[in-house]
Amino acid sequence: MTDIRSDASTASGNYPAAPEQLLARAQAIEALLKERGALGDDTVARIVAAYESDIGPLHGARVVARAWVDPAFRQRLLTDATAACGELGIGGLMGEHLVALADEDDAHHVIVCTLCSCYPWAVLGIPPGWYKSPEYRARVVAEPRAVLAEFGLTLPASTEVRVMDTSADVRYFVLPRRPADTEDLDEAALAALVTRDCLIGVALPKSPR
Amino acid sequence: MANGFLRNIDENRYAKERLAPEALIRCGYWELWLAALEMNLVENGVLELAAIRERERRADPGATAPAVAPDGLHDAIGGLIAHGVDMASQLSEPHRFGAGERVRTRVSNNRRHTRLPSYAMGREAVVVSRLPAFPLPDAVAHDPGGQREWTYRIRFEAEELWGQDKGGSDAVMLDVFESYLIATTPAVAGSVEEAP
Repeated sequence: MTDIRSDASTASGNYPAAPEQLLARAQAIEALLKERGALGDDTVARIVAAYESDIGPLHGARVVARAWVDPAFRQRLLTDATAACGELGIGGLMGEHLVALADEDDAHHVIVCTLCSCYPWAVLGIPPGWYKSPEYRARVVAEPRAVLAEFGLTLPASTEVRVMDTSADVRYFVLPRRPADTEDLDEAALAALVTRDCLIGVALPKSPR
Repeated sequence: MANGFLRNIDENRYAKERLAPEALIRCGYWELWLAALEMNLVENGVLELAAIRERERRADPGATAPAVAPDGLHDAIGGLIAHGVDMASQLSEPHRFGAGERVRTRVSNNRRHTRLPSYAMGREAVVVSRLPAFPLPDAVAHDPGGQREWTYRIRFEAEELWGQDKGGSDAVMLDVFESYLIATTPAVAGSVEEAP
């Protein structure tokens, strides 16, 4: 393996920079790419719109609610989450290989990417700012109970906390347990209980009562 | 990546890792992305650094004549978002480790790109699942045609990573490439010991 890319000189002296300088730099790069025929005026806006309006945590909530009401679907989800999500039309970029981590009576899961910010975009959209912060990434592996408590989630000592560090190509999300006292809720009402934070594992779905 | 300017995500991660330590610590999240994108575009021969620097000093650096996307670009981006890029493959050699097997992670400080976090180097774990083969980040950060390896989900007990004071009942799971792992079972008598 040759070390052909060890030089960071293109960045040296230019980072960190003032916010207005960074904005000008980003605008300069986009403008140069447009002038060379590589991008259109609406290319970036189209990508932003896809993740602002089409793809987000409602996808993951639909998957969880279906698993709660349909035991056969739940089994397929745990066997091959990519295929099971595909049944609901959910998949794509950063969702090519999905695994659902099922919480149990005595085990709770929480996901992180300590090395960068890998996240199941196809199921959850774009990650929240705190998920990408150095503080969350460093702390949740080393002291998960303290971090969860700061999110308002205190788990009994008898519950094992399993932190999933997303370090390769599989993308993970949490399948929480169905809250008690929700027997009379239909699938859509159940999906409304499942927030983004529940799918990351820093919160638990709550019964509306 | 739909237009071929960027080769893979690992060259981008590696660009961030090559920034000077004080820049890595002081830059914001999106600032790191901008720095890495700029490095990748310049190194891949898409844009010249001098042209970016000249342009960003103008009064209105984003001003351009109306620009139409090249044919097929938006369809390619739409396809990328809808279908992703499946990088998984099978290898002719079987997985070296099986579920339930005890393994130890390697220790490496070669300063090249890797996806084995330092907190998880040199620690014992158990294989939870065998996963498909994917391009090895350590190789493709330099060479887009670099080799593929099997991957695994492994489980560390919290005590193994953080010591006795930390969560005796808790665990960290990590996905790793096969070359990050060493067997902990003793070699069979007469077999050749693998160099560490």
